[in-house]
Amino acid sequence: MQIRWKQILFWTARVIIVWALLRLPVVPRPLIVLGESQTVKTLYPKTCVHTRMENEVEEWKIQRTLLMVREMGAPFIVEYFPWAYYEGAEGNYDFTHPDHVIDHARNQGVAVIARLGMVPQWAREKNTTDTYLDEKHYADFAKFVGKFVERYRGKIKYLIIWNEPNLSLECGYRKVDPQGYVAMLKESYRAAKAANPEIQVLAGALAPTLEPDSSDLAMNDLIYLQKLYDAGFANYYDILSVHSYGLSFPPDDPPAPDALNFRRVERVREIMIKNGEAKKKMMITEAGWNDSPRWTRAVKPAARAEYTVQAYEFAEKNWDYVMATCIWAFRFPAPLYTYGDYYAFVTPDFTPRVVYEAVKKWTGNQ
Amino acid sequence: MNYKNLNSKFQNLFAKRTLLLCSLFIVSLFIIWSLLPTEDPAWSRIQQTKTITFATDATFPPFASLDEKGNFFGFDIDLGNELAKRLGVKAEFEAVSYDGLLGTLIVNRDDAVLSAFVIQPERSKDVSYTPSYFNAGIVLVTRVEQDGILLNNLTNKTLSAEYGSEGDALIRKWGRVTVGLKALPMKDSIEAMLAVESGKADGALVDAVSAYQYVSRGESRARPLKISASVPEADAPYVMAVSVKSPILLRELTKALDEIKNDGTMSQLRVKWFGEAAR
Repeated sequence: MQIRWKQILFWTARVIIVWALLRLPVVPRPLIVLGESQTVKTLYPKTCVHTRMENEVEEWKIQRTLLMVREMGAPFIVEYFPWAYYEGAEGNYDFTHPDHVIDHARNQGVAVIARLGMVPQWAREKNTTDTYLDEKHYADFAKFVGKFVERYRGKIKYLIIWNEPNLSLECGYRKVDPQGYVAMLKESYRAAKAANPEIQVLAGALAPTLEPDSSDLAMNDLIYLQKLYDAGFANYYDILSVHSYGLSFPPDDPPAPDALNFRRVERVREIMIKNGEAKKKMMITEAGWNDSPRWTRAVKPAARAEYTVQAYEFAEKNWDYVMATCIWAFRFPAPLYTYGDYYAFVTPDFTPRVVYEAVKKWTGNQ
Repeated sequence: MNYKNLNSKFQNLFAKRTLLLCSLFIVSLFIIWSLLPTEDPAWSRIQQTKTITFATDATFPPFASLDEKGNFFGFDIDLGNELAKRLGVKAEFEAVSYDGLLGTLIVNRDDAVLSAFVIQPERSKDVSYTPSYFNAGIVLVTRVEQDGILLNNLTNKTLSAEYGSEGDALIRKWGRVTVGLKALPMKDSIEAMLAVESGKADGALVDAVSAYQYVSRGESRARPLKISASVPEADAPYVMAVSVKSPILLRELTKALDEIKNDGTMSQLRVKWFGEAAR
């Protein structure tokens, strides 16, 4: 039989061309590139803002958020990393999204203070909210904390364990339990340090509130903090995380046990000192003002911009124990359609609000 | 012709058809039964206690606030009481911070959220929403005698808004694509509407509640104002939320809300809290 070389070559060439054409669309091409590594230029290195990118699905928006944070002159952000998003099934981790956030933040020269929380369905009872974490699952959470810290070793230096545990809604609508929080923190702290001894664990992050003793919704933050120390809290944190919203008062409004204002930080500091913790530093991981036209605790947009800059300045000048002042909140991926929207520095479509321009100017970026 | 054979064929066919119809009937019954709400713990509780409990963030006037004695008052409170009356029960309100509203439904603490609340689509797995009862979004306020100030015809117009507000941001955004559109930022929404009244601005972009309240007070003014249009891209429709496990409560609240809208009660409530312009 005569071999038809010409025909074989012809068909081979055809097959190669078809194969190459089929391959073309599946060659992965990065849609977003990190670009040149940047640094934050700022006159005030303790400037920080709380971002909310955990529900931001588009990578370019993550990049744009962090670019705008850098351009505003903030070298730090606090960002929320929900456990439920990354371990939807027990032991099955997916860190794609936090990888994006952390890589883009590092590329923009912005340091991430990672706040961890939110309980996956598999680690809680039925008909509970995602803040319900019982003792049976402290170890599961601690395991996740260890995984997270290990993965981002060298990339993340600060970690916040849980949020506002003095509110019932942050404990799955159960009665708040300072001893329970310390027990949970103890396991998480040990797991974090085992994964990276250099990691700095922030804890507390209490909601400022004057809720009476009889309330089953919350516990006064100053009382709760003392109960934490009584339960051995001091052994399981490196930096105290504080929330200090200004509500309708200017940032220099004097502190008092019955006043909720920006300088409540000083009352918290007194409790730290009373408990022999003067050497430890603090970070204000939530603070700020709201400029909703309807909310009773809001101020005018112009006043908000002014108070925010004054608050950064006040903290820089007066509180050497405060390492960063993080104002809530940079941007939400979608409108909340409530007064919460009026905490934002930029709108979901990245339009800067007046507070953004004011801070940018103050940090020397305009 | 073999009649016996034909008869048997008919009998077979009839038997098959009967069987088919019976099957269809049973399947239909099953489908209807599965669509009917079977269990609703919130509704059972309401029937048992003769009380419906609303979760409300009472820091948001004129929708919900607390007086010095700790009593609730506002548009949402009046609406809640009216809804309860139509359901034949008593209304109770629990003060909950905005962040915690929906959670109270999941843990069966409260029956419904009535709190100037806009749909959060991402929570549809946990909660269902009634139709909207109020749109609190941004509106365009103009002088009564003005014609032709339309949202699609803003060329060479001047619009005022509170400096830094959502209206202000919208004007700046539109200004990038509209020839000659000028922004006139003012100290607050009242001053923005005053600028329209005095002729410094052609229109003001303000939130609906501020607009209703201000325009309603202006009948004696030399140049009264009107609400010319709402801004669709800045709508804020308020709804009530119930747990997804409360289909009966959702149905009953929706029915009562429709009645309130249709018999003029809603208009009365709107006038009471927002002024005549909100009728």
